[in-house]
Amino acid sequence: MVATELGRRTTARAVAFDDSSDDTLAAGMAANMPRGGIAAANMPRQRQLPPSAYRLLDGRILAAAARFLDEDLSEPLLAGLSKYRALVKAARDSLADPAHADVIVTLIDPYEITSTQRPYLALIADDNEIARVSFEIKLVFGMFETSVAVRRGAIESVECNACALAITLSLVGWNPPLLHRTMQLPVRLPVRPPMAIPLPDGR
Amino acid sequence: MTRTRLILAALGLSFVASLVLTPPAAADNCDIFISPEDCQNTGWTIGVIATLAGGVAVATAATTAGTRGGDTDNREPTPPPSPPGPRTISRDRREEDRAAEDIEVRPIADSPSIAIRPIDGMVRGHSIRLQAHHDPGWQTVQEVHRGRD
Repeated sequence: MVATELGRRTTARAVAFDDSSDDTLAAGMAANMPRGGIAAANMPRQRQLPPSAYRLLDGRILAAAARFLDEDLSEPLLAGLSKYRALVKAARDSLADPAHADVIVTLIDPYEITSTQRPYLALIADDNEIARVSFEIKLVFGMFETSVAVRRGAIESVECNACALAITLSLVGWNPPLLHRTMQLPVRLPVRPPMAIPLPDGR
Repeated sequence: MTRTRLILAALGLSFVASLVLTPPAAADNCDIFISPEDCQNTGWTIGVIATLAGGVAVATAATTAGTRGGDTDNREPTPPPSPPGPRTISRDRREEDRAAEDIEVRPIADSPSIAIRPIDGMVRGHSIRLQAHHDPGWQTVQEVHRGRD
């Protein structure tokens, strides 16, 4: 398997959904959405629409939800790694002593980084929010045999020979998820510019 | 339309009547050879009577049609309301589409909550740490830690 090099702007749509268009993803999601539709269930009673208008609005909602998959994948991965205790210590040491500025930390135990996000779509009419549709995006990185290069308190690169990634986009309060993908994803991620590891005491 | 049909029928009737009545009337007087002049006059008389009868029939038909309201073309039964045609449907659909398009769908992002934990639930926290030295002419990598964090 060819290692995927996650750049700073590698998205879930590109990695897991072959860069599919909004319409293609919306069609995939439509199969798993509630039978009564999304908009109809969320619209206020005083603003009811004809069924065909609801269908049209549902299509636009799903297409807009597909754009939530355009978030940069590397950010939650790096944010999760930067919480790892051994890396925090390495960052602190590399800052404290210029002679030990370059450090490579290898995580032996398999770790799981979970990023949970709850964006929503506001339905606006006449400058007023008339309804809100909430989604949940869950990214789960399974990190096996991971090496992280740290230089002067910042992550410079990440290598993971066996990284698993699961992506789930769901409608809050509704099961099954609208979209779900799991994959094996070896990672070689150069971090440009390096990402500073936040230290608990600010140093 | 109906009036035209009535007039045509009356004209046809008078023509047929003149054709039917004239020869026998003429024959009555011509065959008995009373007078050739009588024969001719009778034929004329019958012909005139037939023509007048046709005219009266036409006038009657026209009057009858007129007393029934004159313009019967406008008195065709009103057709029942037809189901909406394709143009009506598309106009309704456009209005419904506009109702949906009047609503803006605005995405609002949320900052992610991120957690890291050991996959098997066991917190061993093992790692290896190497330090690299890039001094000119003296580049080394040294293992400085192996084991618990």
